[in-house]
Amino acid sequence: MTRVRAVNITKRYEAVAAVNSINLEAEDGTFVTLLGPSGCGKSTTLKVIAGLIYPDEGEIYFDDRNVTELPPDKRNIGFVFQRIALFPHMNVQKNIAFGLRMKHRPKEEIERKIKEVLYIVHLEGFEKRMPSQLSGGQAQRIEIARVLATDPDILLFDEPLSNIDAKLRDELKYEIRRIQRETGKTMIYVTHDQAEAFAISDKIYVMNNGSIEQIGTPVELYVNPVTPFVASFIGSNNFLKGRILDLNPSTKVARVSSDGMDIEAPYSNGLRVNDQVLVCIRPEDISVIGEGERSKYNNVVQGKIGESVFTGLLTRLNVNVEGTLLKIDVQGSERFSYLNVKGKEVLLGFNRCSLITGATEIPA
Amino acid sequence: MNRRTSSLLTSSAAYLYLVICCAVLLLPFIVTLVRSVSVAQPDGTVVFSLAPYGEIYQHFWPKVNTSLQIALFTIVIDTVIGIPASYALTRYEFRGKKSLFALLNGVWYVPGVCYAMALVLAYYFVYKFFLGFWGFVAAYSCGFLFLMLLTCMVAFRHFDPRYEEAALCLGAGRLRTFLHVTLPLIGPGVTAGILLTFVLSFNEFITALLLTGPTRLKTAPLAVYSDIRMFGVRETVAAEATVLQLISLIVVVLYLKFIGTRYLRGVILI
Repeated sequence: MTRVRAVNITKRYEAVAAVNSINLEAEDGTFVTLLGPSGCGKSTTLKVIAGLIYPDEGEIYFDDRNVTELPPDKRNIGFVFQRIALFPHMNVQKNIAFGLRMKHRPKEEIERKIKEVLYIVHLEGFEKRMPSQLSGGQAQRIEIARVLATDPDILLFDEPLSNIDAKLRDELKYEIRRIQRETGKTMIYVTHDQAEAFAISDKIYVMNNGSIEQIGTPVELYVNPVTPFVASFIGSNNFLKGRILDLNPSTKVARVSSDGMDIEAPYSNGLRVNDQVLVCIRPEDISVIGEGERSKYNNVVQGKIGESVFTGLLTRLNVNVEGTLLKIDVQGSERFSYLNVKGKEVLLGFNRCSLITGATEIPA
Repeated sequence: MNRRTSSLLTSSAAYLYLVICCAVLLLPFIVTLVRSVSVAQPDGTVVFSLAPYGEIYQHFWPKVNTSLQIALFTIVIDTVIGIPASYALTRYEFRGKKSLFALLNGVWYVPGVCYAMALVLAYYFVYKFFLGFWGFVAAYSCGFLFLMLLTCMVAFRHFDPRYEEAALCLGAGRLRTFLHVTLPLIGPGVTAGILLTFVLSFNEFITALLLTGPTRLKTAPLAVYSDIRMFGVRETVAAEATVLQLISLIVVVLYLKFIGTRYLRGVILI
């Protein structure tokens, strides 16, 4: 049980800062995820925490211990790699025993530990297999077992599921979460997959271009993205440029004018009338409504359906509203009624939307 | 002609080609072997006999022994220098790395006699204390170090650093990571280097010919050469040549059988 803190970490490669003055904190026994597109510096951050990369600036603390100068073998961490790093010349048993042997543990303890961790990852009886005889999912579980065997204070995962096929990936992510709950260890997890991050994390750091864009729980990030990047990276969003018309401090609702539409949106303090904002509306928050349902929605606009795409789980409609294309996801049994509806005039209603201030460019 | 006949013809032609290639490669060896066991009797008839091998035992085996020892020490020195050096060359970036690679590859194209000439000059004028057996070991260690470097570098390039990172994170220090993880995994590359170094230093002739003056040492290939000059192509000389070839052949065959060829391919950089 250890609290991890990274303070002002910067790592440059030649002149480019891969990680730029990042602060990160993982409380005792929590599951923290670094989420971002490839090349955003999340793996570098993780390797700095592990000690595999030495930062140009900043410090790493485990509890109140400054470990910045310690090599990885002195940090008592477990690191699960993106590509399976089981030693190919050792069988499962020897792989798991490796860390314990390096710590000069007695033979009986090593044997007991091997049994214990294989039980945790549900792969009892695999002791004699060679890594080449394991499937991708099994190998990744053995890798987790090998890391658990050394009883590390902190577990670090560098996109451990990205090379595993989709179905198994789904299973394994819950398994990692289960192991985290059962062992109560602090875990820091790196991924570019938003769904994966949402399914397992207590707290998510969204990273882009070497910096942290937003920190929050999955719900906070989803409902209230504070930067255009977060709004577009997490889920999908409709972005509308707008200007604040007026603010109602008692209800905390702002009225925004955008391309001839009047939109009501909740806001937090710090906004003034005439501020430029981006309005974000999630496609799944917009409904196609009937004339009689107008009163149920704060915002109602009229549009003409363009293309529609059926993806199985939902039907995505592109609706032209006053020259702006809005993406709308129709879910439930309704989704079958919008397969051939090009050119149809519809009413759209939505209650939930969010405002991003300080940015006027619509993210690509 | 139907397709079956034509395919039969094609495969026979390919087979014949293979046989011709093998024959061209093996012919000199076979001729030497046959000559070494053909002993002319006083009455002019030629009979099969293993007697030449007995005859050379006395004076030729010590030379073989010397050559084996030189090869062995060369291997040890080149391995000890070559592994860390090739690790550094593969893993770390520094100015002039590309030029160094070019230079290493360039060693292939330096004529042996030029290299030997340089060594002879060096031994006569600089390393006078270095004559004899150790002079040979030093010369061969220098001359064949690049082979060890090339094979080890190929091995290190195939070796993913994540295994080392994993070992470090599991609590193994740098040295133990190297001994328990890195070395076993690059093993085949190292052995390929060892094999090449053995074959070349055991059979090396040009440098030996020029070095035998200052070092006053005669290796096995030199012994064969001087015996040819002294006695002509006699059956005992053929027997000496056969022994040398057999030793190399056996070592290579054993290597290929037990260790494999994975790291012998592509021993060229850049």
